[in-house]
Amino acid sequence: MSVVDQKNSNGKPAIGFAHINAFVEAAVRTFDNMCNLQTERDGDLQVRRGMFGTHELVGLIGLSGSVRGAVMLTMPILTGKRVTSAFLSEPVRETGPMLIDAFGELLNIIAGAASANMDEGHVQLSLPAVFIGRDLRTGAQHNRPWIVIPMRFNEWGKYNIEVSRETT
Amino acid sequence: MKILLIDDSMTMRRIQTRVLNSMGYDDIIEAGNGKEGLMRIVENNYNMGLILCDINMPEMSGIETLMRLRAHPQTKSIPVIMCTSVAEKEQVLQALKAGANSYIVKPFDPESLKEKINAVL
Repeated sequence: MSVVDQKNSNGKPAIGFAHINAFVEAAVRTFDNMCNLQTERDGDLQVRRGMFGTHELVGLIGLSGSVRGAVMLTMPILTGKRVTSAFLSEPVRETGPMLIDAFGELLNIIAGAASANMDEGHVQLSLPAVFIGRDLRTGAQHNRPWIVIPMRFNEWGKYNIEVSRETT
Repeated sequence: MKILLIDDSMTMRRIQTRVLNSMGYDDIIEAGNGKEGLMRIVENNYNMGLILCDINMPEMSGIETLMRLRAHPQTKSIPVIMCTSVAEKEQVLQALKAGANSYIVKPFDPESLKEKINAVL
């Protein structure tokens, strides 16, 4: 079964190509415009159910309104520091408030741009939350799958956009 | 000229400050939400040349802040640029109706922000 054939409990597709493309395009445009960084898809989509591990730096934002679910941006801390340094045009050396605020804001911009391109009516975004630590595990309500979109920066390596959603 | 930045994101305020500094504006005042922004205006005797205001903020939203600014005789003429994410385009229209001079949509590059600022000043 392909990723786009995965069904939620209500029988609707967990996520379609249009939604995947919306997040990929939003990430590419955000990192290009605001960080001057080039980024691209890095391999096949993955479907994960239950609890699974992530990179050490995790940004999470909730979606509500016509789309319900959550989006995560996850990457190694070193990559996160490099990206937020490019975003702020100043070095982010500490694993502290500056890293957390900038990383959350990047996710906020990506999620906002992606949800606008979903063409499904008004999507509301929660305030972003950022988590840092090793061996972090995430899950989703009602065993909804997480669709993992592997991405990479041309110079600084891999990161993921991870989406769990259902259509109301 | 004093410029007020109202945004709950410390990051966005830093980025906007950097752009304004590069344009030669050094008198920058920051606020984390609309309520705090209105307080900063009063504290500065309503002497504000430009306001950059986020829309989606806790405490007091950008739209409510803008409506209060436009309802007060001493702030109704201050140029206001609203800053928002694409998902809030309905709110952008609402902001323009409420009297915003311009708006900028994230993600934006520094040159776009400079153009918006130059256009309203």
